[in-house]
Amino acid sequence: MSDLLGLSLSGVRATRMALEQIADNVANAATPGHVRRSVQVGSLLPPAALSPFERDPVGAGGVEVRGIVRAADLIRQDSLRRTEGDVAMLEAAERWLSLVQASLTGPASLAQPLSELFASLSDLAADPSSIAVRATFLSRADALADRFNASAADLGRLERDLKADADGEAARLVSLGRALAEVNLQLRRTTPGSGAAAGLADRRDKLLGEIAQVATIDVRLDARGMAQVRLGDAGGPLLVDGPRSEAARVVRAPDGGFVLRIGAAGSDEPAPLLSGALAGLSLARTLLVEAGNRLDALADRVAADMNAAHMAGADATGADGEPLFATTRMVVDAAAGNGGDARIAVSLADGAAPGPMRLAFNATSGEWTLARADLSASVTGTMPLSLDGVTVEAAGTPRGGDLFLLSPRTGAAGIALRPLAPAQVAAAPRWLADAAPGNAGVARAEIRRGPPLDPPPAPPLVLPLAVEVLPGGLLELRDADGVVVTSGAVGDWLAGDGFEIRISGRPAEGDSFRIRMTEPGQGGNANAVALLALREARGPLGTLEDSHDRLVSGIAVPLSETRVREEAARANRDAAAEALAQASGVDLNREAAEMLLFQQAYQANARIIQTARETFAALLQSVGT
Amino acid sequence: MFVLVSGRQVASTAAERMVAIDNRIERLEGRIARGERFTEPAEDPAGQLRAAALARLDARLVAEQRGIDRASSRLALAETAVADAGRLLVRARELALLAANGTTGPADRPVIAAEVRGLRDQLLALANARDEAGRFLFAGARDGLPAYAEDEEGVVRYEGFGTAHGAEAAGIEGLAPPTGPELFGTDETGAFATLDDLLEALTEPDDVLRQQGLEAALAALVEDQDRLATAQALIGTAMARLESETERVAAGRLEVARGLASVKGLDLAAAFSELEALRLTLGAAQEIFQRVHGTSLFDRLG
Repeated sequence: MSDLLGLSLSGVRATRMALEQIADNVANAATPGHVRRSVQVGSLLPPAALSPFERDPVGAGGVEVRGIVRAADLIRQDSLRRTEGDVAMLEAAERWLSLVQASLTGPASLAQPLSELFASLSDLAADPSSIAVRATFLSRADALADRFNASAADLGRLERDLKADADGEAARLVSLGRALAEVNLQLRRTTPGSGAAAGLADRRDKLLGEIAQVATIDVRLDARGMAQVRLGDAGGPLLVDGPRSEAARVVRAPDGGFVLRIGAAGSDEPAPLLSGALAGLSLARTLLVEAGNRLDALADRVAADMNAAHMAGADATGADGEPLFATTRMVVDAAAGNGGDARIAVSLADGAAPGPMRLAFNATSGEWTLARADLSASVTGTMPLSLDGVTVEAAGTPRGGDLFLLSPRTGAAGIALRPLAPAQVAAAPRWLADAAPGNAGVARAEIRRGPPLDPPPAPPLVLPLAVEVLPGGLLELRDADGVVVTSGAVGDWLAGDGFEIRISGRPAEGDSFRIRMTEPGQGGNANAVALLALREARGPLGTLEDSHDRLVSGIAVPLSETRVREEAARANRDAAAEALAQASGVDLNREAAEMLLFQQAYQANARIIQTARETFAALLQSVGT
Repeated sequence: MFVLVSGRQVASTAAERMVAIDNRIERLEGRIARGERFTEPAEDPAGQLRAAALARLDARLVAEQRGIDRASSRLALAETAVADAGRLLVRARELALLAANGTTGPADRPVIAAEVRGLRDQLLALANARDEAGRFLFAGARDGLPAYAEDEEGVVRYEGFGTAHGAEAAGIEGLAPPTGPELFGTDETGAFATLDDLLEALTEPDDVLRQQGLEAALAALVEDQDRLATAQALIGTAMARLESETERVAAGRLEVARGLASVKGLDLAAAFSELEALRLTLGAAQEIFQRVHGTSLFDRLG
């Protein structure tokens, strides 16, 4: 009779635990990372030692709870981690590439200022003497340089923010690693199969999922459920091993991208970045650096082409064209520890090409020191100070020891319109040539800038020079005194002093072609036309506008591809999550059904106890009677 | 088969899908508001490149048109001056014929000479015609100074040099106003020399020499008129060319506008029906989610 009680008591206990577990599952139905748990029961063998009252025992021992089982599916968990890593990578790349794209397109696009610069050159070619048109051209050139500076500054800022984001991800990786190591430690101390172990396993899997969103990982679980995590693949560096976790940091790769280094400084090793947010950030940085290089190349080419063409011409004062753009700028960075609020303004002399410098304030003497970064030269005194063509001025109040670093910037950050007056726009060619009125032949003269004669002619040539057509069609370039400078045939470029001239067509014997330097206020539009022709000039990367298109599509194409891949990765992730949820998730309908089942089992067991009690009571009554 | 799916997972997946539909609706609304098929390069990189090229071409055509207009106006001013100069030479020829006529007496010749002197001054003023920017039209590239000036001896000399600017801004060579020598010949044998010779002949006391001089001047005037007529015809041709260039630019801009419409333009009807469809889908998704997942077996347990 005591058997009956013992058997149903074990049944009541087991079903109560099962019901408790169902309640726990339902309570955690909305808890992220909760894996459905169930109570594993098994039938007990009859007790080995029989009591003297049980001479003919039934062959049953009741039911026992063997442990709590998590409905975990390691393969599906791994596949979800992988797909979540992909989504995190593409999300991070998409977020940053969108920002890079925004800093190069729309209102920040270089297309418009470039197009407007050429439109103003077209106007200059149509009206080379107009002061208003010249001023417009200069302001367009200024706007283009400003846009280059703004885009370069935007990209620089984005690069720094991107690094900060990557540093944040690395810090997250470290803290997740630490948390996982702590969970590992607790797992070691917990009885396998207990409720506590199941809870820790949930926490472990959640942490693993979060780590996979930062970087690619390879996970091994030991018998107690402790996770060993390597970055990349099974051969990658260890991030977490048992109760130990490693440090991690992100450094800039020289060719763009980031490198994740695992381990203490000095003995760290690089980890491959294949998925996770860090891989996305690395991809974004690679493309950002590439865009920055393209932007710099475009700025350098605009400056070089425009300067060369402008310097070949003559301005309205009759002087040689000066360079349009300066290509170097000094950028000031205040040291982080500065205590004062001094602001530094830097100006750069024309044509100066300074190296990096440092500016320090000495409170005792009240003087500033401007020095080359390598300390090979310096000046000390009160502001303003000048060194190597760099002049600095200060406003605000400095404190002793305040330090400012001055670094020269070139490319898109360095380009600037030089201070030119509208009259200094070289719309005219340096040299003019024409056929003398009364020439009998039909021929035309072209003239372009050339190197001065080497050695210089002695005695000096007497201007003006002219080309005469000799019998037999030979051409002679002579000065006003008849001294022959050079000779050649029709169609040849004849080298003069600072120019080259070519006669083409059919000149007649005795024809002459006059040459003169452009005088102030004269000269027409030939140099404006030459500047305008830069729009068509093809470098190794096509025209300037082609280079610009390449710059934009260098971001837009990968961004578009990233978005498509991101959509696919999300679908994959959702599918993996659903698959895992089918195996490990809590389904309320199923819990309800099981609840009914266990409820009935509980009631039945309770009923049997009651029956046993009644039977026992009846027995006692009959004995007592 | 009874599929077991975690309630939480279903909810978050469904929510993400609904957010995705919401995002598409937002993007589509942006496109409809702008009337453009894409709002940023990444939405259609190839289309964006084409659109950028077309926009550049349009800006370029607009600038070319300004260059053409400017060249046209210079040519129109030149044409007026040349036509006036032609009329002056016709009058000079009439006067020369009158002086060569036997009926003209010694008292008439100073009157005729005075008129010829006036014609010469007018011709000089016409040869120094300016464009609206004040540049001398017939001085070639040296157009900041008058094309012709009298030297100390009163001889009119060409001071210009090279060729003037035409429609190079529109990429067309050779549509500049003619230079002084193309209109008026050289300093020694051109129109100014002819008028000086005519004046000299008119004051020649010797009848035979005067008659010879007048006849030579008449012959030279014919040549000067021919030269002007040729130049005038060339100006007319150049203006006709610029007119056809204007048509080319207009046609080009129309093509650009069409191209832009086909690359960037949004098919509004299609966009609206897509928007409607998306809204319907979103509504249906929300409704179904609520119906399917709004209840569980727990609701049925008394």
